[in-house]
Amino acid sequence: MSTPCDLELFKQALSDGLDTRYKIITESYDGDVTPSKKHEDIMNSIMRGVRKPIYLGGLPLRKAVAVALIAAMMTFVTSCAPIQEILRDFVREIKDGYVYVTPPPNNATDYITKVYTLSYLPEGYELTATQVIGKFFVSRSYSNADGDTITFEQSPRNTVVYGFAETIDESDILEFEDYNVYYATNGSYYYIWYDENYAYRICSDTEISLSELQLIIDGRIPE
Amino acid sequence: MLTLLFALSDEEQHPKIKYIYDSFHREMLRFATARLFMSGRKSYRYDAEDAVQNAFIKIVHAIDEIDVTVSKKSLRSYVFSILTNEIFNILREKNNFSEISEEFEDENSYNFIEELQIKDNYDRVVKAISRLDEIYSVTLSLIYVEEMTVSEAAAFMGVPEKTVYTRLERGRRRLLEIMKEDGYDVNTMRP
Repeated sequence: MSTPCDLELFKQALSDGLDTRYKIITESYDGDVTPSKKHEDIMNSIMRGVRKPIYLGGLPLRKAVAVALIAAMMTFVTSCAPIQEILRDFVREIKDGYVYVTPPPNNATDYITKVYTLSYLPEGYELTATQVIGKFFVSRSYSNADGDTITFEQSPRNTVVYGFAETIDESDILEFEDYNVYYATNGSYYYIWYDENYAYRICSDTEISLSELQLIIDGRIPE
Repeated sequence: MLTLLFALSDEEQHPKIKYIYDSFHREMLRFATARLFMSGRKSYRYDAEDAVQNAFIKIVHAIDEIDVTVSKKSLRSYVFSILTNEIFNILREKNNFSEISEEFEDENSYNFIEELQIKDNYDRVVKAISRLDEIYSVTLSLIYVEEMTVSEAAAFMGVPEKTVYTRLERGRRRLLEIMKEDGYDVNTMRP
């Protein structure tokens, strides 16, 4: 009959055995493991220590000029007063070169269960890259022949979204109809909105007209 | 390109995640690279970085529950369990992982640990565990070392509970098979 001592020994053996296996595998590879710049950027940001899950905007960092349009789905906003109120309750914070946007928490799931894509894009844009991180994040990049890129991101609803904003301050926050707009002037644009289940962000390195932006947002469809 | 990053749920937890990062990040990246290289993945270096990033996302999510005051070896074991699971997920998504089907198998009632007679065979058990596929050794570790329930282990690994039961049972069985292959007589409990 096994004893508590046997169980403790087995735990120790598991730990020692796994350590040995990790060591064997690790030592079997003598190639380069220098992390990529992208990986270092991501890991450095993980270490940043903000309070909640966040997005990091990786668009060209040139003197960060960020425009963030905070909105719920435009079609909802114009017709649904409670959502307008929720939007106005968004917490915005500008700190250390970033704009942080925090929605009031709700009971939405912590995972993405329905992935959205864009059915409408400005002329000439095609899907060029997709990035998925577990069930937490989906990003699709669309580029045109000039190399201009629009990126559409989706993450769980209760997520703090942020964008680079080195030069932005509260005075740069504009109101556009029912939306709060953050902007700066050197060419990177962030549009952030939420619905009941997800947080979304569109980032562009060229300006998108508001009418076209509305078409893009309205064209968000399940994959 | 935009990237999702999960930062800390509480700023006071920051030293904990930094400690884990400083202690294990490089080692995690090397292990993930080596493990994915073994799998034959052409994109093993990028996949390894993905695995490490995903592991840290999980660590950050669970940071409130992680006790970094335990021994470094115990903490390392936990962190590598997370990483190994992320590597499995990548291999599974990319169809490089040939796990046999995982139909539910009832948990065996025999006393597995008693059968090992571990007091007399400690080194052999360690050696067998080191040869056991990580999918099984990590599952055993989560249940026995981390003392997770099957439900908790299932959530940890992102698999159904029946898969945890199956991996547990197959892990135990495979461990005994390895010991037998090493000359250990599972009937007499002697080499």
